[in-house]
Amino acid sequence: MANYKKEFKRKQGSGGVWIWLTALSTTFGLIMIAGLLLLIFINGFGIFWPSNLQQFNLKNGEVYLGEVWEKDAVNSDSKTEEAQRLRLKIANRDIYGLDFKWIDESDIESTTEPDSALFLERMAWGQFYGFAQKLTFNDATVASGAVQIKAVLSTYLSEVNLVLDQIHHIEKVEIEDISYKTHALQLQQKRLQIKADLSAAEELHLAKLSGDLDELQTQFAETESRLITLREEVDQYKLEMLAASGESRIVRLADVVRWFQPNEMNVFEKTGIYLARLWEFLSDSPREANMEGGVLPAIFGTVMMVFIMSLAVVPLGVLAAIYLHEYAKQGIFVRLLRIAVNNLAGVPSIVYGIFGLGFFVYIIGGSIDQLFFSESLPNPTYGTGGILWASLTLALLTVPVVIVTAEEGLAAVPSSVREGSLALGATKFETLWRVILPSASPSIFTGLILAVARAAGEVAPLMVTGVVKLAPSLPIDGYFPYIHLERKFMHLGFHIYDVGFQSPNVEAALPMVYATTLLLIFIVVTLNLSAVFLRKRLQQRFAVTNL
Amino acid sequence: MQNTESARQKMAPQKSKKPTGKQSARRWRKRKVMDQIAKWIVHAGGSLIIASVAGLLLLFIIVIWPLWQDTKVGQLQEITPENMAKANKNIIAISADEYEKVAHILTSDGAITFYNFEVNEQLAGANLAFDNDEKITSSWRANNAQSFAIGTNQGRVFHYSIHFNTRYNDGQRSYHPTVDITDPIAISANGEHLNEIAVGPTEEGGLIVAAISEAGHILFYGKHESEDSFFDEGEETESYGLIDDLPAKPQHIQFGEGGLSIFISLENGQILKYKIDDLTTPDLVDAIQASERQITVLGFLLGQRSLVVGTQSGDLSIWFEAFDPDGSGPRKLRKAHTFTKHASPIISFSSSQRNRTFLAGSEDGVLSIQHATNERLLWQDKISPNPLKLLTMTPKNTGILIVDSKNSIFHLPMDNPHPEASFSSFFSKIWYEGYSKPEYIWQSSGGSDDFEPKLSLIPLIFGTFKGTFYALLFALPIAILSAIYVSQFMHWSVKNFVKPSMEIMAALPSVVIGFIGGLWLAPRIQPILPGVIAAMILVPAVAVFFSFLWRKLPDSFQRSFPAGSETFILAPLVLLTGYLCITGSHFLESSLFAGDFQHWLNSTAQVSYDQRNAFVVGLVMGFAVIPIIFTIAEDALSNVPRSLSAASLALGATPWQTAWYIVLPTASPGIFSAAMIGLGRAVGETMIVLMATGNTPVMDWNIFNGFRTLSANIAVEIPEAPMGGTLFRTLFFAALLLFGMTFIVNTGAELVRQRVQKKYGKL
Repeated sequence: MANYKKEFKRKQGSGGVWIWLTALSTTFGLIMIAGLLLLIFINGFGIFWPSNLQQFNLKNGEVYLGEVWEKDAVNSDSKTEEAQRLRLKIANRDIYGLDFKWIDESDIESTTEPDSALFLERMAWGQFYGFAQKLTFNDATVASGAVQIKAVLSTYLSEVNLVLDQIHHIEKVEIEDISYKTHALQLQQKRLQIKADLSAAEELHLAKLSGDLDELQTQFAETESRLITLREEVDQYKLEMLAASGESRIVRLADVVRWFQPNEMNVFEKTGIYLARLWEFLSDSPREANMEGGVLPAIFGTVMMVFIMSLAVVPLGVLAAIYLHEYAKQGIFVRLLRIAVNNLAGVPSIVYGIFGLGFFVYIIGGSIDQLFFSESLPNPTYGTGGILWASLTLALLTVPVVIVTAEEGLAAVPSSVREGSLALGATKFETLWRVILPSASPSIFTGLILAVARAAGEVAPLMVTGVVKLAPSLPIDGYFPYIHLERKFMHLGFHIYDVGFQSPNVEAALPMVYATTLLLIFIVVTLNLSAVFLRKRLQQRFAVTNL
Repeated sequence: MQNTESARQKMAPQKSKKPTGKQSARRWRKRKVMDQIAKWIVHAGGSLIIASVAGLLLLFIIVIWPLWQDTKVGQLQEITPENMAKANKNIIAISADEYEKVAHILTSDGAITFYNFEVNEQLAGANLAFDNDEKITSSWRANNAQSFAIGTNQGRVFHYSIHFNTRYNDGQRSYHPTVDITDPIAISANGEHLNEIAVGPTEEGGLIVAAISEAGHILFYGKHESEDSFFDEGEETESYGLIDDLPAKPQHIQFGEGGLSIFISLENGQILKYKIDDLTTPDLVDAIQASERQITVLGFLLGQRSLVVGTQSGDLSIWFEAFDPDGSGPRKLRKAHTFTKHASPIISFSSSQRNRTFLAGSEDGVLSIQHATNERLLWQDKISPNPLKLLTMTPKNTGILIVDSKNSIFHLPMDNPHPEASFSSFFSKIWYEGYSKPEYIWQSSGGSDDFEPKLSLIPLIFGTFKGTFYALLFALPIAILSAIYVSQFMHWSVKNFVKPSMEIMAALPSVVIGFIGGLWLAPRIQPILPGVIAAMILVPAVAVFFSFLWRKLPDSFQRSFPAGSETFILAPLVLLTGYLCITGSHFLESSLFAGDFQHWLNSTAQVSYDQRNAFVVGLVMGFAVIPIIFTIAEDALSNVPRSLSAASLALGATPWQTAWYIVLPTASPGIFSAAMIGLGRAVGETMIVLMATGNTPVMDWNIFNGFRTLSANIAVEIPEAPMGGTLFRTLFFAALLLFGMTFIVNTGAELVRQRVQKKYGKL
């Protein structure tokens, strides 16, 4: 008996090692997931926090002002002592060329945190870390010294911003309006010119068109001169900044996005700045080759693409699911269909992309151009990548998700309900429309959410079918027909790839990439969680119904 | 069913109306029609899915098809101008414009004629100013068919260039051809008969000419214009050179790339190469026996690097300068390609101005169209009963002009858009220009127009498998083992949290994973590589060791942890060991690898290290496929009927024995299916490999090197591929290959899954 027990215990134990090993794999997987999420969270959320600016006086006399980003052991040959070095964000791209600098701790003479250190966010060249020296208007000094300037800077900035708003209005509304009208008239003109024989009325119209064009031209010249005056006015406000290393730079107030002095701010003030920068990220357009500013156009492009895709994918997927589950007789066709669906689910996304390029863009888009937009050829309208083609490509890519989930939903409707409806004299369509579909709608919705989550994260097919690093205009604007499906668009996922791998200064762009990544993950995970939640609710509901 | 109830309520008011019989019949008909329409729509929707898969395949086939189309040749048409046929003039040179409407013809009397053969109209021409009794004895034509030269019996060389000057007026094309004739060059001081001439490619303003004199010497003439300076117009310097010590009679001459060398073929079948940086002192650098028979044609392909040699016996071969197969030695002329031979001596040759296609004509009137890179005979037929004297391919490769020995001119339309594509160029080793041996290479575009495209798909397929292999090497054990653990040993309450979080990981965009791999992991893993490798060995070892320790602990203590808490007990241990390994990386490096692991890899292990390599891709792509494999495998394991495992446990098997011997074999088809689907995903993954490898199409299994996959290649190159071009179609072919691979894998997995379903249905 004792022997048996011992034997049993030994056996248990020998298997135990294996169990521990399988447990190890699970641990490993979970740690990786947690690590990845943690990494993105810390980096993504951390970048908006205004850290203190520290001034480092080096032993060789150099002085740098910057934020400490990380500490690292030096790979020095001297194995005796672990030397530390700091990675410093020194900004001032226009002076130093690089945004970051490694400083060996042993080289540091002293470190201070000067109160007057100014964090200046500029429209171009990134941030400037330094000290305010002089504020001038019309070449006359208005304020000098950090204290004085701090007192008046806000007032001057708001003055400048008033003018900037006017400039912005002229640029974005008036000039855009003129150029839109000009373009439309030019197209009309060209259409008439292409036409072989013109009627008298058309001749007249053509003459009128050129008159209108001339008028627009004068209007444009007038607007432009107003713009130039305003710009000159705004350029009179200048701030002279001094970098810690001694160089000075003149910054036009029109270029100042934001300024603050982090070293004398308390946590609440910093939180204010943090939220303002977070808001800028979510609500502004990108600057500096997408490395700074916000990602609003990318959010907009992603959402709109996903929306158009939903319009295409839901009817298609649901019809296919209904066919599979309600109408089709089980046979060779249905088996083929299932294999087709399964294969569609497994086809690499780049293959869809290249299909979208070949079919949607070149064949369909090319034909549309030939038929309806011949006046603007050889410039393609629909015959090039655009948001519509990208959406349709993604619809094809995600349709299996919708089919599978919708079919699950249809299968979950008890056949007694179906038979009851038919027995009461409803036709098959009526049963479907009034009984089955309402019951299955949550799972159709779940399928849609999963499809949207997949589509929001796909990048490879978009790169081929119409995503761009910087779209000049959004796909929706105030000009007829208001929704421009042929336009190229920006996308969060592509933004990550583009800024992280194609930008001229990858290191300086990294914070932007992390923030975008965090946003994308947030969207995708939220969508998926809601799908999981919905599915669970659904299961519970049908569990009750079946009783 | 609230919904059905609400639906009924909506219908209620209608019922109260009490319809008459007629109305009711009408309504019934309407309902029937609606039902029918709905049926059609649903059927259409179902068919649309099949249609899209079929359409996908169809589109690929339509796009790819032209790659395999044979060269098509149109109707042969004689276009000899009437007055020329009457006068029986001897034609020396010929070329055509890019639209194949106008031919430029040089006749032996020195007349340069432009002749529009579409409308039978002679256009303005020019005449070469010959002295009395001066006759053309040799001629030369540039590869671009725009400049020509002739040598005379009085030792002079005339060089001229032509321009067709096409203009459009109201959609009508008109030609205004012009000729620029340079002053004749007296290359032979004593007015010798010139048997053969060649003009070299030189920079703007310069000229370099070589000729074979009657006496069998090579004569050189060079003109160099110094840069214009502010004060004077730039000075012309002339120089002359001579080779008079040839071992046999020279027959043909061709200038090499940039006019820095000259190739001379001799009567005895030898080819000599002279360096002529300085014309006055030509320097023999290479001599090879190219043929046993007399060389009858010597010409260059586009790019002036591949020498086409045609012989008396009808043999055709290509020679270029390359290192020995092992990559050593000086670059020497080596025979790289041989082509389908002609039955009689080759006497004419012309190369394409766009790609590596060339024409060869022989004495029996046979014309062949060949492609150099893949040694393909594109077309061959007898054109004329007479020998083919002159050949020229039109600038856009759309037609051929042929002159036979009776001075009849023929026009042959040709359609040959993708000569470089063939199964052999995609899948076999090809000897590319300048390489030392046949190799698999993907390099679709280069800096210059005369670039030879290298379209082997093998490196890309290799890269695809390499990435997949390393990813699965990492992912399969982790995913399957943790599926076993989660399904068999984990408490359901924990499982309800672990499984969804794994599923959500499957939804993480690959661009995010690629970014983390390429920009975060790759640079960080580089300095601590020894530590990472150590951790991969040490962490499991520590876990095993810990499990033995755990067994020694008292039962009561063990029982205080619920089933499935091993994972969480291990977590701090794993983190600690990992941390120790990484911080100890330095120590490992200095004690085992002489202080620098990468240096050790390079010098001792002879392995190069790229920052973005297969190791990093294996980790991150493995990370991406783990959740997919895990989810499906876990489902398969959980679906094994409880009765089986319960019976096993009841018979006294331990939980591990039950899991290993009962559950795992039963679920193995499902696990196989999971692995296949993971494989399919890894094969087609684009963004991760695009971002986390260097995308270099190299072929080696070294884990620390990069690679390029089919999918990443498509993403990288399709934006630059002009629609309808060879590269465009080749990329579609690559996509079809990818589609085919995943099709096989997915269908296989699906079939297995269906079988499993049947099996469990029975149990």
